[in-house]
Amino acid sequence: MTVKWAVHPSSEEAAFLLEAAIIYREARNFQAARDILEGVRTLFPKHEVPEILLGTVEFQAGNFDAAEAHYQKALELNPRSAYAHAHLGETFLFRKDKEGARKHLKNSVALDPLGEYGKMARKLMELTDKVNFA
Amino acid sequence: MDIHDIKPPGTNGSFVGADYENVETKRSQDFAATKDKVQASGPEATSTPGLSSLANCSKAALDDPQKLEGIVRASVSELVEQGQNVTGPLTPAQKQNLVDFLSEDPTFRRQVESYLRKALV
Repeated sequence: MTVKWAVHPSSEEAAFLLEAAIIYREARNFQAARDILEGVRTLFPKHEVPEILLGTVEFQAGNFDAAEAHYQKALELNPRSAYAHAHLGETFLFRKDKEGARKHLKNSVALDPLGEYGKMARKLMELTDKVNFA
Repeated sequence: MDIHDIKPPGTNGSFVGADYENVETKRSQDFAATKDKVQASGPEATSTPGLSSLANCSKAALDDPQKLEGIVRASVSELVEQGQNVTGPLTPAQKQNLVDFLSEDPTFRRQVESYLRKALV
């Protein structure tokens, strides 16, 4: 028997859920943010945005390994996501891996040279060049 | 329309707009600034709450359930307004739904009330 999803949320409903998750994240209510985003990911398993936002939750919670795993998964879903590359570069930087950071930040700039993620990645690259982890 | 219409920034998408980073950064700064104000927590710091909707509110009002409800909703509404461009502009009905949802979440409500008790004088 083939089981089909009975739930087909619209993008407006997805926006509602993502906004709620982001507000929970900013309030440092990380579990509530995770719960919502995992639900959105279940509904939209081929879309990278919920995965990236899960990464940002883990990043803000200080769980850099988990954040990296989410960003990597997002890149599996969409290898051309400047959004995911920028956040992955940031995560590598926070884990003191400057080479890993540069690689992903360069990718982000290449994919989004004029956009906000390219801009974010350029700033992080400047920081990567300046910072000394000695 | 489904989530596959959603494109990440840099690809001319609409769901998560190109201003995502600005809004995210701004929200983080707003939140950090508010948190710093609360944590700075001398009586002087608490006299300048981070949410403008609290400008005319007093701590005494928190003891009145009706006023408390109004203050909580006003605060949540301001949080929603500050960040609602993350996924593109929300309609007034969507914003109201978000305010209702967050205001009625006991955990989130406790956080807001806790903040209000620290921020108001």
